[in-house]
Amino acid sequence: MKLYIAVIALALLAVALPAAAHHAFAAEFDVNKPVKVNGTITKIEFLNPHAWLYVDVKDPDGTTTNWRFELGAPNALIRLGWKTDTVKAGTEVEITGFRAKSGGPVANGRSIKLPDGRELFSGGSAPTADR
Amino acid sequence: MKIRCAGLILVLIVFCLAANAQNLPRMANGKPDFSGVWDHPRVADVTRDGKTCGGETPGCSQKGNGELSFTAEGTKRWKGPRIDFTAYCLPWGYSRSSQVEYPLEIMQRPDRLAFLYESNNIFHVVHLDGRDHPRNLEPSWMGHSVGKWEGDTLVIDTVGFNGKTYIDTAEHPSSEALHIIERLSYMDPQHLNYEVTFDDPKMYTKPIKNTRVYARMKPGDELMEYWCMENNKTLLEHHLPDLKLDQLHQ
Repeated sequence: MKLYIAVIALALLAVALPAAAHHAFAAEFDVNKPVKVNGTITKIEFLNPHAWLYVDVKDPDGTTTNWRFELGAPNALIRLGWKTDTVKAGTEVEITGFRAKSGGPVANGRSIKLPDGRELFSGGSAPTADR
Repeated sequence: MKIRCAGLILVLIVFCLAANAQNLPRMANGKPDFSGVWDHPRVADVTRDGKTCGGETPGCSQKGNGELSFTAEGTKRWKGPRIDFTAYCLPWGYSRSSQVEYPLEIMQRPDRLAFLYESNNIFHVVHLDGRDHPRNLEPSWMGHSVGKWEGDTLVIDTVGFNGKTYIDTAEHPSSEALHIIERLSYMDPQHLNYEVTFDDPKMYTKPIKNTRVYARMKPGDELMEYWCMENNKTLLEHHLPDLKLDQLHQ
């Protein structure tokens, strides 16, 4: 049942998100490799053609890995309600996305949950249902 | 009685249509004025349908062509190795400039209309002064456009392409023979009907047709900046093989 809900939620999310046109999603990321991490934001680059969010994630062995997530362009993020200071270094977030084909701690971000419960969509370039 | 009712309904329909036509924004010369910031569907694949605006404004739609019929040369290009020059921040070309998810603005005068594209902050001019395409056009990424009025519909005819652009993000090929015909008209003051035909007899045995609806963005929404090359990690970190000049000229 939980899986069923998760699949529906993912499908709804796919419809809701815009897709960036700068490059083909499939050139860099793998839609079959979803990822979800919890961590602390270390940096955001609110720059064209894609914003990038950097997150320190604590691994089970106690080490820390700095993940980076590609988001949409600043103009797409602003239209989705973001501002340059919406997320700041030091904020704890849960972020979902799809891993880079090249491996490593790199992914295309889909949504970010903030400590106050707000969920921000990323304007990422993942393929969507009708585009 | 039935005939009277039918007559009355017909009169009402004609009245409503006439009232709607009168309420449309118009230039001093009486032609429709399409000026404004418009959201439009993102069309990554001209074969497919869609129902959303790229910038999340309600009211857009896209009716795709369905399956395409390729020529032998078209099949070779479609199935062969392809380079998407836009991945290197080279131009989208005319078709893809209005198919990305970012909005466009139309600025119009009686003798010319300009599309201002948010994506890469580029523009394209359509001549409305009755001129025709020049002879011996130099091929270009965006082509040469002239517009003529058919009643309240603006028909934009564009030729002179360099064949280096794809029709869409799905990388459907085009050649120097590409001829784009767009028909722009008001559905109502907040929505535009946009029909586009891509006729490229070197690549396709039949023209490709799409029908779209654009939605006017809400007051206060303006175009923003967008640059392909600022923090482009794909290029800065060399995720793609370097582009050689002869790949542009082959």
